[in-house]
Amino acid sequence: MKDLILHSLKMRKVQTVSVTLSVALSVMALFALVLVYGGVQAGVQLNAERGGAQIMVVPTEAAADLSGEDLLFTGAPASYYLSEEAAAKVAATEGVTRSSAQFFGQTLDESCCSVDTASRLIGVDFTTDWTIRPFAHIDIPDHLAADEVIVGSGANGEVGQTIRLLNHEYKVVDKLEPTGSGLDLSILLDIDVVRDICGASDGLAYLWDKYGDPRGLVSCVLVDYEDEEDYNRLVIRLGNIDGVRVLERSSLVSEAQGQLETVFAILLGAGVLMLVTMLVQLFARFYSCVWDRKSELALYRAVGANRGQLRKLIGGEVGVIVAIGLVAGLVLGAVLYQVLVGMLQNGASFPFAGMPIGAMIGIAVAFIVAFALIAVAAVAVPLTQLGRLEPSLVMQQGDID
Amino acid sequence: MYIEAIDLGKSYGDAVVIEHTSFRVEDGESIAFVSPSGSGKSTLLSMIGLLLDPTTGSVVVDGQDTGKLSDDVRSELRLRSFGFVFQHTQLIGSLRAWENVATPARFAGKTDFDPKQRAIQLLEQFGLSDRLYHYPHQLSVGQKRRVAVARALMLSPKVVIADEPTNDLDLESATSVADTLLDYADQGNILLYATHDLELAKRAGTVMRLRDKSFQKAD
Repeated sequence: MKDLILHSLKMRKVQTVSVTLSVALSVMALFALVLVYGGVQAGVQLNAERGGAQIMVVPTEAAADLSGEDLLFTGAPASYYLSEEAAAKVAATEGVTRSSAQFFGQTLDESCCSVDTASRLIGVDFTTDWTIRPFAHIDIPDHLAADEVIVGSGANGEVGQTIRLLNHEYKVVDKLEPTGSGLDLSILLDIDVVRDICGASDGLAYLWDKYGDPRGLVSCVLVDYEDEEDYNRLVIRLGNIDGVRVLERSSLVSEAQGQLETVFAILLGAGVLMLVTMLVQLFARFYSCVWDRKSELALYRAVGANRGQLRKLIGGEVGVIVAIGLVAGLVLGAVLYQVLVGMLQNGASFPFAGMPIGAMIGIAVAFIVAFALIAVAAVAVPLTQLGRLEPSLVMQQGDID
Repeated sequence: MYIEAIDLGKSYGDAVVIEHTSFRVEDGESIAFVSPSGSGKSTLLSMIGLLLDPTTGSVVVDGQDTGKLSDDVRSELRLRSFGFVFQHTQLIGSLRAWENVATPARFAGKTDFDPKQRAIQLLEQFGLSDRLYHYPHQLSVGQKRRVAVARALMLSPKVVIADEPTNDLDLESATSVADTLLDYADQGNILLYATHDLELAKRAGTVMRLRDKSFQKAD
């Protein structure tokens, strides 16, 4: 039977290849899409669950040049600064339960440092920070030593290793869990250390001419609050501070999600269309296959094949096509997902968390089950046709092509 | 083994093709059914070969009324006990000669012989040792007929049913095919064949002629 199935597929090479390709491409597109969508959802959820800053206060200039999503989720390097006085005003605003300042340094690359991906240097005030610790494996002290760094999950360096940044060597004391944000490609130091590094940089001197001594500056202030009912008034109060703009996580998250859902709805529509095309192709292939091969199948019946064996023959052909298409599609889908993840992590302005291997396998298994059912649906009619095939038909036919 | 046709008849709507046909045949016997072309020989052979349900009457094989058997049991009976030589040979164009011969073995599950070796042995026996790997379109009519006979004998059936087995063949090929089939019957098997060739019909143990849509034993 196995030989007969393979022979039959080989004899119809063009049909076999086109249907297999159709299955593979549909699976590839849908699989990659589901993984990416899952990654985005996981990123949003991760950020929400780990209670990052609900509000981010940035210089007005920064907000004018970069979108809120870029600043809040991707940690886009913004060489705009606020005075510490403004930061103190934010902290002292009625309704603010906690706040923490960060200082964005320059983007590091391999020309200056032992990193092979562009990484952002962020100075964190660990005495007040509550946003980094949920992703850490160590109990972060209030002050990191001057030669200690914490790296994001996607940044270079492993715990215990030494990395070189701007001619100085630093020891990696922790590597954060993935956050689905720009933090994953960041290198974190104590805020004062980053201020000193940047203050000593000739390339950034023009900034200090404009803003003053970096030791008195911050790039943003992360803000948390408790009184939900007072939230809107809090945002207004913060917005009244001179030179700042208030970015709200909840509105940005829902805005980003809304945009994403629109894009995914369109992509999903295209994916479903491909799936339907594949279904029609499978149906057409096996409907015509049974119809065109009536004489051959009737001959098999005449020489002793029972209906079950003919169903196995046709089912086996579908099985081989769907199995090859599925495996190829899942592999290609996983590759496409990796490419898309790279593109998203570098260019997208929303939180993204990679799918765990277990979840990916689970989704792959779900695809296998779903496509097996689709294949059965596609050949249900042809298989019913087979049941009605009269073996006596063979007596009326000529040679069989 | 024996086959008994009891009052067999076949109609399509109001059109009666065959009616009131009865006979019994046992191991080592052969029957030739003689009638003009298109008068119902193939229909009769289809019913005897369990390819077509009769409208009236029944086909009994070794005491079993085959009309009462399930489709699977009838398929198994066709596979193990019947070999067919169809009027138009019915070879599959995409299969080589030996593959065509081995076709029944594909549905027989495990066999105590190698299907390819058996197919080759049969083709060699029929003088086709240089045509083993040829496709049907590369064979002459006579060669195709011999491949079809080899296929019918692939699983050594107790019954061979042949529909106009020498049709369109030259004398030499016709004699060769007829000799093969009749020799097989002489080895203790049953041979049922349809023909309009009276000389070939005379070589059978029994000749049945069509009279008023019923096959009757010839005098």
